[in-house]
Amino acid sequence: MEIILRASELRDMQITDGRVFRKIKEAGGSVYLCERLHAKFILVDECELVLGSANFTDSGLSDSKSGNLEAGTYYKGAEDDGHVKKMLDYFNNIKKNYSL
Amino acid sequence: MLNPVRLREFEFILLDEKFPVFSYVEIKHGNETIYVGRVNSIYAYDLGFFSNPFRNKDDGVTASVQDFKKILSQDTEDSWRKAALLAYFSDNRSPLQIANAELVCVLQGNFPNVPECPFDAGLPVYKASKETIEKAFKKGNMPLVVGRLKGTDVSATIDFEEVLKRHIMVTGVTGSGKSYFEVHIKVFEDVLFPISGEEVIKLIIESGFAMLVQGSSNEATYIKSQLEKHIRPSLDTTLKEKTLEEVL
Repeated sequence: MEIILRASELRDMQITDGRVFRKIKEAGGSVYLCERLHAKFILVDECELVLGSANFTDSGLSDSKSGNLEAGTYYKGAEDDGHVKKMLDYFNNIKKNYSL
Repeated sequence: MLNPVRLREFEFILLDEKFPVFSYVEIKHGNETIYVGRVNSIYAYDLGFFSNPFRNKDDGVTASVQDFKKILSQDTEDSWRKAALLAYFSDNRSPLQIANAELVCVLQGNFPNVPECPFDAGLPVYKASKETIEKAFKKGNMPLVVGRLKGTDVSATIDFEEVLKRHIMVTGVTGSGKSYFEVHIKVFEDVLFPISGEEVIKLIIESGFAMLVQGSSNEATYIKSQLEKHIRPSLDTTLKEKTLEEVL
């Protein structure tokens, strides 16, 4: 599991608090920090993709009664259809070239 | 302008990079007065550093104690703390530059004067114009160009009258132009030489105007006496009282 988090000001790290880091550590994952990250997407096993406006926070992921009003897409492709691979390349590009 | 530190010194915040060390700055005070300064040194304070957390109040220059507490007290997760520090520095690492300047003079009208009281804090500081620098360094009635003021296109001059009347010490590191300066001064001393009233009278006769200084006419007697009175064989007194041109 690899996660890139926005870290452009102290407030970002108050939104993503210590509990998140603890959970990632328990799962054996790695955290990368990026100053200018604004994209919100999750990739699973190079074939599933969630892409949209929501931050992966309580307000971003709650229903419309209590959370933010968001829009997003879920896409599941075949392993070789290339669309999810493009997003994976984008993720790796941010990780390699734009993280702290 | 932050504050006049002392009568002859002040500090100001640098908002752009036009003010390297040795550059000249001007501060307008009312319509008539311009303070002229020269940048001596520039300090940079990193606002990303925290103020002393063991003191009760912030010092106003470095970051707040609250931020320090947020990062180092609220959460014990090491990786989060590192991330929080990086995030904090991404946002705050901007050095504040403060220049310290020496007050060269205060210009009132066209004339440089010695400042008599500190000026107001909060006034804007600008790069000095060529005109201002020239006025600030105007030296006497006989300015002698000896070079260029460092960091400017303005000629550096010394007052030649002062050169003749006083001793001068020339100091500087190797290659800074001490010998060049000295040659300059000597050339001028060689060109100007003491002359007596009698010698001027002789020159007038040799030039074919003997009637002006010879004979017993009232006019000739008067001119001769004036030349003898005002022209003495000393460069110092000749220049001090009247110029040769004025006497003639």
